[in-house]
Amino acid sequence: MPRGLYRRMAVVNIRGSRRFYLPFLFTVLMTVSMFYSMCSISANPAFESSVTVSEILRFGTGVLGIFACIFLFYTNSFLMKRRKRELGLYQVLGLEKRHIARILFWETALLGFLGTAGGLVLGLLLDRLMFLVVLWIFRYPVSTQYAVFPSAVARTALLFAILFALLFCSNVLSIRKATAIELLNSKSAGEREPRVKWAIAVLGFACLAAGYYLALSVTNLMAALTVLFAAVLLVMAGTYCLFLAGCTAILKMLKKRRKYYYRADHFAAVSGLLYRMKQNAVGLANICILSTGVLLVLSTTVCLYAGIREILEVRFPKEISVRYDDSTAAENEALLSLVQDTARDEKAVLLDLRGYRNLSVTMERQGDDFVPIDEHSTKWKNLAALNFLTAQDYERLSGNSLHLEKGEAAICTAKGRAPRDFSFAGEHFDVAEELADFPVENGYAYMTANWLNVVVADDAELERIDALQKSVYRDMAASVLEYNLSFNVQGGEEASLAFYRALADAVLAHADSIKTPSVSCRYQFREEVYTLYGSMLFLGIYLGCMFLAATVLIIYYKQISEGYEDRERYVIMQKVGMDRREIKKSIRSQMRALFFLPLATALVHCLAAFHIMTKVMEGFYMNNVRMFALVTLAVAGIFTLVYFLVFRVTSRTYYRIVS
Amino acid sequence: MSLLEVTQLRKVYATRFAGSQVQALRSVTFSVEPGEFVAIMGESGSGKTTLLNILAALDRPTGGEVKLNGRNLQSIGDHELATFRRENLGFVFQDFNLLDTFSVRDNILLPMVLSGCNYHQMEARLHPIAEKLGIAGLLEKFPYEISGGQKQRTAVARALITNPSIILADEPTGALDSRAADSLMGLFSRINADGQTILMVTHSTKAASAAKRVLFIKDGEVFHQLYRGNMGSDEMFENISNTLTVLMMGGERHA
Repeated sequence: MPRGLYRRMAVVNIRGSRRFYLPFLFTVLMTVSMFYSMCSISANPAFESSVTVSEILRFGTGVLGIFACIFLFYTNSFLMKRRKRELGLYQVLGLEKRHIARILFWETALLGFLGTAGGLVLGLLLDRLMFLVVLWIFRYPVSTQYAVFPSAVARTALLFAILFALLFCSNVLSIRKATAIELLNSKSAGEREPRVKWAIAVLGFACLAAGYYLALSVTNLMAALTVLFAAVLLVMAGTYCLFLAGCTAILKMLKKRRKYYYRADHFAAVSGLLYRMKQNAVGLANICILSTGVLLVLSTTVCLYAGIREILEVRFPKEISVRYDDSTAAENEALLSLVQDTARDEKAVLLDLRGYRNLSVTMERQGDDFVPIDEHSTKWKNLAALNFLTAQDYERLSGNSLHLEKGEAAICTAKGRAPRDFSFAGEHFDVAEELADFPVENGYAYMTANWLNVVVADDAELERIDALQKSVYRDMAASVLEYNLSFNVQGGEEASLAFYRALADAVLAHADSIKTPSVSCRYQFREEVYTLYGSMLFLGIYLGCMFLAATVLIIYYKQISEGYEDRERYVIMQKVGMDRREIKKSIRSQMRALFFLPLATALVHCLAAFHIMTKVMEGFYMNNVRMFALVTLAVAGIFTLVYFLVFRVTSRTYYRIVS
Repeated sequence: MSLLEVTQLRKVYATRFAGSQVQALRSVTFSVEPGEFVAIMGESGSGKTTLLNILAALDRPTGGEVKLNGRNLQSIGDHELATFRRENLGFVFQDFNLLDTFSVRDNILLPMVLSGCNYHQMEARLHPIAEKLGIAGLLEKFPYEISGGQKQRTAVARALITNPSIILADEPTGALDSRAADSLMGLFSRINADGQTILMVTHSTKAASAAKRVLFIKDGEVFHQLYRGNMGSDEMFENISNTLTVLMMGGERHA
């Protein structure tokens, strides 16, 4: 046998059936460039600063990898179905299966190389383009820089090399199992019903329920981040299984209903869908999952960006805040007078001035005992944030009088169950009173399942507790007894910035006489926040667009590839006496039902994900659930509109192909 | 009145590079009476398929007219055409044209479903026909699971189910082996005996010898016709063979 024969045959084959290979190559290009973009984004140091973002990106890359795998196998199955006849013919003409395997090897290698290399080039270009476009749109000092990351290129190349190797193996296996005649006839044979339909349905249902349960049962950010990946995977698996089993079951049921089935507009539609049920199910599940991705990514990031003002207010309840760590009462007094002296010198009027000592400690809750956290054994659901304040400060801040003895405490529970009496690191406290409101925020509260605000008798008590937590945590101690001084400045933003600068200077000037506090101003910080959340929005728009593009392409691909398959059928139906109007009606009926199914499912997924997403958003100081709901609604509305348009346009293309 | 009247039918195709034209049908005139079984024969390129396409209203003639039940096919508008064909014509094709997505039952019922009949009506019509054509046991199978002869009988059942005025068959035995072809022709004779009018285009002498009348087409015109009268099949076969020989030798026109 001449050298290079199989390679040449592979090239000729690919060139010969361009019509089928081009869409496949296109899909590969798209998947590779998508995966590369995701890798490149997560390799970008701009997103490494926030643990939440880098965590989400890392897992997004994982999800995309799995998706690439499913999608490639899915499109490959279209291709192989068409190719089988040709491969059967080779066998009839005298090629052995190992020879066919060699041809397949060269074909796969060639397609894999072209697809991966081309996809990487496309990904690089796309990445660059997206950066330019997004930067141009926002004109913000987004802290992201465009760069090419060799690690991202390497990961992408590796993943797709493995995927193509797997594709090759699965194709060879499917050839090996079949006889020549089976191969020759396989093009016209309908897809067989999945054998263990009920098992698949039950499995799908279980996965979906578990995923939903995980998503709905999280109570805090840390738990949300830990279960997010598992929940997404479960929901993905559930979606695939349910679409597979569900579509088949629904279609078969429709077929059994004679009055429904034997009608001109349903007849061809239902049987056509049933003929390709697995292909349909996977395609629709893909569309559903990508749509969910678009919705979640866009709604969260848009909400964060839109909520910057509120986020600032959550982080900076007052315009200016001054803070001392581990300070004495005398130092606190000195600081207060420094602030007031500066205000007098600057002729600034300070409003809502308040100062208080505060201690926030994170412990592990065991019933009504709070014990130090152990890195290895403490579970997230047992984490508790305790926020201490003195009775004196409480009275001043809230205006309510409160009298406590040593060893007594008043409690205001924000999250979790209220304890009766409790112990803190072994020291016993009696709960003298339960408070309805608490004037001070807790710095760690968003991360934990339990969150208690505690008022203790006086400064001595507070210092005792501080000493206690320092002694149990030793060099691990993260909490400090803080003195917080915060106020607004009359005259708004400019006055407040001016005073902020004056105060910073004054602090510098007195650096030798009093301990240096940290001074921060909401407006000064705002720039920083805009940069950070601008990057987040960039990320959201970037990923959202990518998912959207992928969704549109899949819909388009599905319509085109099925259009060519259905063309023959519609020609026959026209010969038997179906006119154009009836064809249109039949197509519409076929599309409507199955195209809106993924959209509806995606919306339900979003609804289920809403809760866990609000928890993740707390990691970004975004607590406004109402606003998140509104943004989600708006995004869902726009997406539905876009989806509908895509559907209309591609249906028209499908119609043009078949008639 | 004749069931089908074809008068001076002419069809000219313009080739892709305008200028040269091909005359597929020059002037074809014939008629078919109710209950007849007519075969149209001719070599490849003689215009048989063009003629059948025009009769089936799949194509429009350049000149002349075709009347079915007294109605001129050209006068039927586009939107009505599909319905007209469905209700008056039954088709049997060389390559069966069955739909892979439908079971045998659904393939047969397709024209009725398109006409909007209700399911009981369909069932009532389906069973006697399936019985008669010997495919009653195959109704739930799919086309790729049955043999060529069975496929063609399914296609015949589909053509019969609407009770058409005439069945148009285009080389119905073309893709069948000789036994399946014989059995199909026997079937055609039987349904013809029940009163069904059939017009069949073929170049198989064997198939044509089952017909009651054979029209020979050459160079776009009806060249000759042969009536069976009370000839047996063998005698008919010989007569057709002889005529074909004369036709090939380029004999004079007799019709």
